[in-house]
Amino acid sequence: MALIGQGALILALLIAVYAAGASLWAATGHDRRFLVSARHALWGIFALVLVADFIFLYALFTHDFSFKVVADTSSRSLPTVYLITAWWGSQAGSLLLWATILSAFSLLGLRSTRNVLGELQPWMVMVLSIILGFFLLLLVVPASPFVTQVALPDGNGLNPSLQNPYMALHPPSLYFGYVGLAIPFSLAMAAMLAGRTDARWVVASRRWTLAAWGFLGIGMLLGSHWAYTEVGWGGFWAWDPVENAALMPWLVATAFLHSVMVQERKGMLKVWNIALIAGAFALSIFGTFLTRSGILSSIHAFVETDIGWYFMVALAVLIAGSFALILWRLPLLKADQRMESIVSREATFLFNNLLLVGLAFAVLWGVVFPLVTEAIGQVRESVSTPFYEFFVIAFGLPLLLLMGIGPLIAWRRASLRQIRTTFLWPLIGGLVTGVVMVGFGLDSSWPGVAAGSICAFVTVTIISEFARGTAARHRVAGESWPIAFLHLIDRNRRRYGGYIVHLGVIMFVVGAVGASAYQTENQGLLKKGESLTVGSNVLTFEGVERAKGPNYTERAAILRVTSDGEEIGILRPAQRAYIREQTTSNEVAINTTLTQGDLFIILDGISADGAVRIKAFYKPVVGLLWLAGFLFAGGVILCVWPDRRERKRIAKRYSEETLPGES
Amino acid sequence: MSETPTATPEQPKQGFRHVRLVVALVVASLLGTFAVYTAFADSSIPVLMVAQAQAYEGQTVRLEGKVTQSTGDAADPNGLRFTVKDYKGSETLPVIYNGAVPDAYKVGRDIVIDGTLKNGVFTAVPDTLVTKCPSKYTDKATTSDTKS
Repeated sequence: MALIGQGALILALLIAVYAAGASLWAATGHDRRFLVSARHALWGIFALVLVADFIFLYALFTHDFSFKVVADTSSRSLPTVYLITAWWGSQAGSLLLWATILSAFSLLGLRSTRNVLGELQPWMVMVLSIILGFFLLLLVVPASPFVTQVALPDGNGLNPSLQNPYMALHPPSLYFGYVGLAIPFSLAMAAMLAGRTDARWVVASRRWTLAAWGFLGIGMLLGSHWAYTEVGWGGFWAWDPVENAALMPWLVATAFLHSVMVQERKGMLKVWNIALIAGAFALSIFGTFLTRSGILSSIHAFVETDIGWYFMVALAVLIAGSFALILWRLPLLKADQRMESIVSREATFLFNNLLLVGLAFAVLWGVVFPLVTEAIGQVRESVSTPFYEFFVIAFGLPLLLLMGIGPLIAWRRASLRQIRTTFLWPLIGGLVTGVVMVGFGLDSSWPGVAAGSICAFVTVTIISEFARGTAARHRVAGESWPIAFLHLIDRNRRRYGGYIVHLGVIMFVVGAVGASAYQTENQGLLKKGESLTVGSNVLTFEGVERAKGPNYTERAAILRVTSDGEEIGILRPAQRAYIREQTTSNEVAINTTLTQGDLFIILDGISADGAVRIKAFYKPVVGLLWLAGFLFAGGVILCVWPDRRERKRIAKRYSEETLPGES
Repeated sequence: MSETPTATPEQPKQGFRHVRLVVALVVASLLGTFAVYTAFADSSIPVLMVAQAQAYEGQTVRLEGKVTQSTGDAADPNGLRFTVKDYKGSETLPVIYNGAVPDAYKVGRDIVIDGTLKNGVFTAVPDTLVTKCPSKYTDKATTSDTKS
């Protein structure tokens, strides 16, 4: 069995090499039939990877512990659901998932761009084959899922932190995001190789970038919700390198999504866009590298692994290759127009880009800082939360402000009078919110007040955009208000979908500010009958309750919670001792009220005399942070959803357009 | 979305220069923020093994190692007392800790903790104990694949 799996992967690797060669042959104009052959080869790779998947999963489900990976990440007692999540619990397994998703996405990506970009296809096939080949090489040599050993009676089991429903959704969602970025990347590279540097590749890649970006975003949010409810240290984002690994490509892809609009519309920022998508994809490979190579613990750990070197070489090739291509095609990448004014839509996009890339760079610097210091001096230095928070505030607040300004400013050059009328109400909204916040004593955190005011400013601009559009339809087309509203969104899905995503971001920011800037925290050692106050809540300790689970014993602190004298209920933060694993786990108690926020209680310990150490947080409006995910996803889906009218428009535009060189 | 992007021969040169200046200023200020922050904010902390820690007596540092013995309770005023040993090597250091104990903490686990070394005892900053995940995935290296 293992032999068949390994054979399938080796064959797939060989075919990928062939596909790259054949498509290159076709692309250089030798024989177009090789393109057909190369595309068939991609189907072959997909089929072979599926064979490997099947064998791997079969081994997992039948507890075939002669497979080393299966023995390392599962056991007979592991629940069936987690046999699936054990797929990505191992290095080899997660790389296999990468390859599977990539080969499927390659086929889909080629299909979806076939009509728009016939002449880019061979180059795209080549780039995708090379990326596929790289991951297949990893699977064949340093990280084979089919390494066998003398079968053990039972496996080592799956890491307990991966035995969680979130782990069924969070990693695949991130992988969809990471891998999805390969499609726009391959299109960008193909466009340059073919010398077709107009906006066509941008138009064709838009949905893919959006979808990949959406998956990355949702994946991060899922991971963060898992951390909040399960890991239980009281936060939702720890600036852990593994988290940052997903955040960096997301930030750069966000910049890309905005700046491509400038290229589509104005023919500017061409080099910048190619650099951005190459950067986003490189960061997604870098993220996989970070989490897979062991470099995080130390440079020395990295030197000991093989896989790290493969990634290093791949990253070097990727970055050098993209750079060389850009240099080579520089004459073709000249902007069609120049930017005329800093008070224009394109300029706000540019500033948004600079801030996003700056933020991504700050995060990257934080991630590599320990490695750099270890390489230069002997001692590793590490940065932590304050470093990241500083840059989130310094770069994030202006970014947030641009979110309100950008959509209302005209392309090319905005007039002062226009600005005065459009921004009057949003400005009033922002100022009033700021004053009200200070009035309620929220000036304990000035960044918080600033964020709140800016959020109000942006919300008013977005709402007024919806209102203005709906009113215009109501007036001109005579539609009823709800119909006008729905038609408005339906006819301009991209624009209004974008606004909905923006609203999601605002909700997220409000939740995050509430949970960080305005959180109250209290802790104490409570004897029976004693109380602890956090926010307006009073927690009274009433005793310890013991319980026995299937494989653990639990001790819970019984806390009666009252708020302003009103009884809220009993909360029971607990500690579980897992007997066989010899670990304890904290079961936090969270009381969520939509209007109030979260009361988050951790039982830190129980002392010998029966007193409990309790840590309690009160986090206002933190619920918005999770609800924002739905708006975000809804907006993305609205933007990505196929649109017949748009397709016609694009087809028309490009049938009329002259070919480069003729103009 | 209707206009075809064709270059107009007469560019408003003045406006363009103006834009370029502002963009350059923005980039400069972003970079400046970096420079100023890294220069003035004491944002980084040395990450040390036990063998290196002696040289940093009295300073707040981040210690890495493996837990070898553990007694007491982090919820107790006397604190959780444990010994940290280097991954490779035999140097050990006693640690006193109060605060939250992560789920995965136990003897034999790799941990990271902030604190100050004084007179041979490492007094930890409360709530800074973090466990590194055991290497279940790779053969040779320790990956911290999930935070726990």
